[in-house]
Amino acid sequence: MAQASSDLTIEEGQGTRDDRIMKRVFLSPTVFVLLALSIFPLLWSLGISFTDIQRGGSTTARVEEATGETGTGFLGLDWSLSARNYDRLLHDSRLWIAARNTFIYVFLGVTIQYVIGLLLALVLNQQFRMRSLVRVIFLIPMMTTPVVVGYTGRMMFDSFKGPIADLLRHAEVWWAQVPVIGSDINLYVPWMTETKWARFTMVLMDSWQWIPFMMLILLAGMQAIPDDVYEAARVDGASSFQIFRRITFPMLLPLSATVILIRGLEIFKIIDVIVVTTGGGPGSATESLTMYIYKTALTFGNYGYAAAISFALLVLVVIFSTLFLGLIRRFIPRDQY
Amino acid sequence: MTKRFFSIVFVVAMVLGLVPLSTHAQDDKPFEGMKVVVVTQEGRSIGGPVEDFAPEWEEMTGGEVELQQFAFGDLFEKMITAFETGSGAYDMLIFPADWAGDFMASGYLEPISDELKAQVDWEDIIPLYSDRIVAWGDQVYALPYDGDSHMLYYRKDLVDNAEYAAEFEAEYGYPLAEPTTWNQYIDIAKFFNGKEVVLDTEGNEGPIYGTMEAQKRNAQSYWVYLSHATGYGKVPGNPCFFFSCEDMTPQVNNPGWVRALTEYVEIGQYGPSEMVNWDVADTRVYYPSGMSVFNIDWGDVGPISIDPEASVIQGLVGFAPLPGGEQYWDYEAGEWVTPESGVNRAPFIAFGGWIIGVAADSDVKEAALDFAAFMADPEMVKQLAVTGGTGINPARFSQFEALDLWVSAGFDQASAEDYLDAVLSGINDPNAVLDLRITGSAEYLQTLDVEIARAIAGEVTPQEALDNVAQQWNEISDRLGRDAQLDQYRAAVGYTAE
Repeated sequence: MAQASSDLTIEEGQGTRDDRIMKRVFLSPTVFVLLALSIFPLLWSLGISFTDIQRGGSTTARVEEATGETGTGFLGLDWSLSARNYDRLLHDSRLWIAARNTFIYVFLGVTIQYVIGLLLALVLNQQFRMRSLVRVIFLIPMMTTPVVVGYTGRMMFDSFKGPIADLLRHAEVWWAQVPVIGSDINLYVPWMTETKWARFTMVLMDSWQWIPFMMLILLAGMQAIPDDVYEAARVDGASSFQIFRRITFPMLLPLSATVILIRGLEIFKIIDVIVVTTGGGPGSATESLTMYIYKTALTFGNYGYAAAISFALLVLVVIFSTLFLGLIRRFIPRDQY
Repeated sequence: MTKRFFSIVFVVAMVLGLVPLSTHAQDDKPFEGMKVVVVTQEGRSIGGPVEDFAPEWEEMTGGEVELQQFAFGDLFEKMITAFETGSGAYDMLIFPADWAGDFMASGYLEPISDELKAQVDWEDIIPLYSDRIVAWGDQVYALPYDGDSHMLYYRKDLVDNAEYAAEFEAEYGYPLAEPTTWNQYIDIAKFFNGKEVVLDTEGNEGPIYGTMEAQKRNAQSYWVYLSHATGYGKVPGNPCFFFSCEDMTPQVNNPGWVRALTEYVEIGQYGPSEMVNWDVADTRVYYPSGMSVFNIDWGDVGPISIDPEASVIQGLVGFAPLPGGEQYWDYEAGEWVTPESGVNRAPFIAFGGWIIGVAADSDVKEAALDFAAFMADPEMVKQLAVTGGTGINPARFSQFEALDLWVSAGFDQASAEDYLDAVLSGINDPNAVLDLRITGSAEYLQTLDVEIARAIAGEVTPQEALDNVAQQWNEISDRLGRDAQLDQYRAAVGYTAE
């Protein structure tokens, strides 16, 4: 039962000292688990990034042990030595190619997924027959594992025997019969065998899987917008486009920002689809940062260097998130995202 | 059909007691309640026979087999991680022989006893495999399961065709025949590429590709490139190919290797564009479908090519040892050398085959060793070698001697002789090149894999790609200890300093 504020002996928002202690006691297990499962491994791997620990041991540790010291593999307090891994990543061309690919995936992927997801949400927000069935069908890709998406994509986008290539060949024949165009049209697409196309194909496959996620969240957001707002707009004679531009889109902005951020962070970690389809090729055209870290650690056994790249990726993601949040802060009040 | 037939024959033979696969009596169940976890690459090739025949071993011994399979590109990581962490995740490993430096030298595998050797008829195994491929130093750590060297497959109905021969000679100035040099190989591939020919035994006509070679990154295609490189980079009489045996200097960026990569990139023009994303598992499907004149692969394509369920070119395939370079780069002299015979053949014993080892930290060591012996049994591998799609190639004298076995599998007499000659000439060639078998071999070859892929994609020139590889190989050698690596490499190739 609510009490009048005049009856309170303690200012609102503050408990007794015992209450505060109890709160901390109850929170402490959670804090401990968080520290144990998240912060500690993070700090541990940060430590490893300043070592030369690798498969078969560590050169530094062997030297230390030979001189009777404890062999940790730590590269030393001299910054020029201890930051060797970080210095190496600045000059690692393959790493920068992977970083470039990752950024292409993030920006292209998020853009495609948001635009198409929004359009689909607008369509599914309308009343039409079998709307529920259509929604369920649209959600199937999201429930599929990325490895299966990869194998499916590998078959679909096979420029040689895939169904898409087959459709395009039929389209070529059809277009050739159109007098203006003639028979010169070539619809052969090297989906996964040419650098630029291969990157785009990776984005397409990731988008196919995750557009439904965007659609689902945005649709939920649209359905949360009160009907009376739309009714008022219609009474004022607003067109459908005006309603979208002035009401739906602005009111979806906080949710849009959230969903774009979530997908952006997810795409930064893309690996499964790439491993299954191109293995990072052709050349290093499709290799992502996560795949490069995986290879560095588990194929080459350079754990110290892999940890350094992981932290570089973490810094990149933090910068990306901060810039993005700074950008949307101009448009959305802070308490709405 | 063939596979099923042999499986049935084999099982019937075992039931009748004609194939003494185990030392256990039928009523003896020594491994009751024990589970042997087997790990190998994904797919039917190599792992398939384990799936097919494990129930027989389980029935005989009471043990249980669990097969775990991973994509080839991930297999090394899975195995080495299990060893390094001491997880004991796998009991029996079927792995490429060139990982010996990482697995055997580190003591991760259980030594093979004389008793077990006797059980699998050790004397029957070709010495290349029994003495070198499955051993580290004087100690044997694995059982041979599959013998491996690359070879050439070609459409003999097209290459031996008189009409095409006249046309080819008019254009290139020499007779059309089974190629002995890489130059001839490229000329013939170029000549046929896009030509309308009879594609299969049904008489269907259409354009054919010149060649088909696996070029996918993160797969098994870098071995195909190495098969080109040996002809140009292997110096007769000098066993050192990957590195100089003087100081471990990588030879990977010398002019011989660069020429090989330049040609490997060029070959992409004479094959399907998708080749850049094809591993051998893909080319083994497409080549038997009559798509190209040439194919380079291990011995697997032979049995596949005569399998009516997998091939439309039965009896049309010729088998040959790998072509060689009409010149080779002598890195010590720093010059190109033209051999008197006109060709420097240097067959590549690409990765040396899949071999079976048992983890030293296995809790069910005895059971795992027994199952390893079961899978490596002479009669077992004899049947598997003639069955398409198993991934098993001959590594035993008895497999080469049993010509009737190959004929009953579907080869005609001439093709069987041709096939076995091609395989044997590769294994027995004194200038043959063994794969890299030192600690870190997987890492050395993975760096090569990446840069080859970059050259194919046009990101870098062949010279730049191989310069990058040389730099990385030096870094790996320095990190692992150059002197130790040099000692290992010398031992691996049988080098003795003058």
